[in-house]
Amino acid sequence: MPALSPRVRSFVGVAILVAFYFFAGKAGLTLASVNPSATIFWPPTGIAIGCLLLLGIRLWPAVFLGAFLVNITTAGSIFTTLGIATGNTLEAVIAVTLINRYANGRNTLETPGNLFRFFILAGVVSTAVSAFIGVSSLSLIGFAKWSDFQEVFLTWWLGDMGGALLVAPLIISWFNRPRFNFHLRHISEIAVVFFLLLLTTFVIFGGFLPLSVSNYSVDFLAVPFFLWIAFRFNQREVATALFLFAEIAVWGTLQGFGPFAKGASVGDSLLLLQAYLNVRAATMLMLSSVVIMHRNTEELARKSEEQYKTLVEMSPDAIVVMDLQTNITMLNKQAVSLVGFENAEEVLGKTAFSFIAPEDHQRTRENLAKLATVRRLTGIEYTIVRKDGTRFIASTSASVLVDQRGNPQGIIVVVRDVTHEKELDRMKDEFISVASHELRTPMAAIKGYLSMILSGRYGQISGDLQKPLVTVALSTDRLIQLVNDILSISRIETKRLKLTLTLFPLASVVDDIGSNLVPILRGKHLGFHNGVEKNVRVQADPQKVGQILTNLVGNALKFTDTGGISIASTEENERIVVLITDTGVGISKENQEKLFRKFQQVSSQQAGRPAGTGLGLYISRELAKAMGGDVWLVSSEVGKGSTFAVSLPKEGTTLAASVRQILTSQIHTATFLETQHPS
Amino acid sequence: MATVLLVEDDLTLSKMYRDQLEHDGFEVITAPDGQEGLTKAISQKPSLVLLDIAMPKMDGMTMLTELRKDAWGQQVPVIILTIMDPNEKMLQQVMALKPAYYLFKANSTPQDVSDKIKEILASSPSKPVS
Repeated sequence: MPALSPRVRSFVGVAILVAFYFFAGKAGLTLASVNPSATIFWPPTGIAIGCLLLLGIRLWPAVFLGAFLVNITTAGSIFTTLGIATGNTLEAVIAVTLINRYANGRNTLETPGNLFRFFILAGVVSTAVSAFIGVSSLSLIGFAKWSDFQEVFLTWWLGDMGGALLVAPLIISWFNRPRFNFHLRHISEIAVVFFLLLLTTFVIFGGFLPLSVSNYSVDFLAVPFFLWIAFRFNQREVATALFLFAEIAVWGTLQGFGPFAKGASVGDSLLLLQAYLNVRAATMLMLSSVVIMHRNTEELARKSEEQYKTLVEMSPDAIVVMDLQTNITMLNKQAVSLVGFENAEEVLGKTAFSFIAPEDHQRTRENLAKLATVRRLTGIEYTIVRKDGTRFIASTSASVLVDQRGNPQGIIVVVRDVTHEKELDRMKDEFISVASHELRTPMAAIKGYLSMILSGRYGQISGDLQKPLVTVALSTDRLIQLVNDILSISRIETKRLKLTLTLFPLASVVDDIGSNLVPILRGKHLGFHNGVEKNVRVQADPQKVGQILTNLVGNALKFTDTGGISIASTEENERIVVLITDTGVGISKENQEKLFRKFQQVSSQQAGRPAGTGLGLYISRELAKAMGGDVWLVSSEVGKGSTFAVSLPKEGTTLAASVRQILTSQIHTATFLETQHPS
Repeated sequence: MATVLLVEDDLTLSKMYRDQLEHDGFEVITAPDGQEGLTKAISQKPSLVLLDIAMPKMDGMTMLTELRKDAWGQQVPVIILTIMDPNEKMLQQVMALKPAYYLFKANSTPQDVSDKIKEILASSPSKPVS
């Protein structure tokens, strides 16, 4: 109704609800026996709960108005009518509030747990409120005797309960899931089962056959059809069947037919029938929700399996599932072709060991043992043997599959052929290596000849020529350093750094560097102090440590014009920390952040100083990290100087041992010399 | 005057080192590869061998290995003069053959090379220093 404003729509809604409520109430009251206002079947309860749940509690005035109109035109006074209408309205409001809060609102019928809460909250609790207020109102004014309170209350309560359990689910299920399956098979089956159910219901309650006339207890005859509906269809069909069954049963019982028409009075018979119908409704709806839940779970599981199957088949990587004995139980097409087979059947049941090169078997067994505790291992490489005997290197990631209790059930492995990547890596490394050789040879010639020219070996150099030649020489040094640095970075980044870990005294390396720098120190009139403890020994590659310290001390020299450089050592967390302090120009805060990035140079301070490659600090830090240490800036102040630190694992510590273990087994190719470094 | 055998395949570098060494009073024999270097070493028995590693025909490592098999060759001081990076595996293998010293071409001037030769010849005129 797009043309109608929300206010008009609400008004139309209220009017329809009032009318609906009124006529259903009138119909219900025709069954009143113990009191004109207390009936054994009160559909308006279900209408009110259903409508307020679907359309919103704000429609409660419609319930109040409907209830008022029904009762004012039935019996009693204004006061009793107001009381009853209040009770009926409260009933619906309480039921809907509680359902919204505790039973998943309009979807309350969909799971057994919520449905159970619906039965209790809407069927038992809220209806008791209405019955109490209604019967109290009647009794207070004298329309009912206090001595009959219990009987009238029970009738009222059961009547409302019938409305809540038979009518509310009907409304909720039809309006909550309005789409209907119009397939011929579906409709035919519904037609057949409803025809059979109605036929049976008439057999039980209709008075056509002796069975119902003689009041035999044959109500069980309907059970198979209810089960049929519950198992094959949804709650909408179950609620409809229950409602139709109830209508016929009430009608038949009123005529004196069927198993419940044996009571002392019609009221007693109807009371019995209502109790029966309420229990039947509750059990059938519950059964239906269990069936639906099971159906949904199956559908979810099917969907999830479908998704995973597609994922596995679409994956560019080989995926293999195996049991705990490494027998292959499932694998994708990529895995089959990876090992050179045509069909999965040829591979299924084989053990993973039949594809792993024999020299890797021991390592595989160790990794399997490790997997049992860590549950996941990634980036492990094995040599895999194909069906035709050819080999390739595969990178694998394995994860343990566990059941609900966390017990291992199998292993899932993702396998990727990395031969090509390895080859590319090797080629890149080789290219860089060859290129650096080829670059270095002519550079060595330039450097060599320049030094000979500058030394006067080919004759006296005029004053004008001296300066540019020195610049050429410095640029050549810088070019050589750049080639060296690029080669270092390539090694670091492709994890091909070769480390020779040794235990050695740091002070000796610092002394070597100091003595190499003597000419420059003298030239700039700078002091140099080696305060590193003589007995302190670290575990590292002395050549790399020399490279790091040369870089740091070289930087300090480059940026210091007065004062000097002092080197000290401390110990911190199993590491020896070497501090290089200068009295140079210092580094501004913004430049401090850029220091360790590749190709970063502190630009504002370059004027008049020998240029670097902008790679030194980056390389130093990476080299130190590769050996289990680090390089960082401790402090720096513009105009006062800077302090840099290098940390390295101290000899004999747990850290040193674990770094050694990691380095020799995994990342870079490292060897460890137990002997002392000869320095 | 001491004789130095310079085994170097790059002719520019070879001429450069030769210039410096002759200027410093050494007699210089040159060889462009390991094969010729080995022949000249054994036949002319220089006081010291200045040896490059990466070379055609026979590389420096093979030549040094062969040289160390010779009675005289076991004794002669050898300075490795290389363009290689200290990280390289081959250089580490060469070190096992006990050269007297090693220098990186890109980091050393011809003067450095000449000074190192004088130093080694002065400290041990007939035996390799390790």
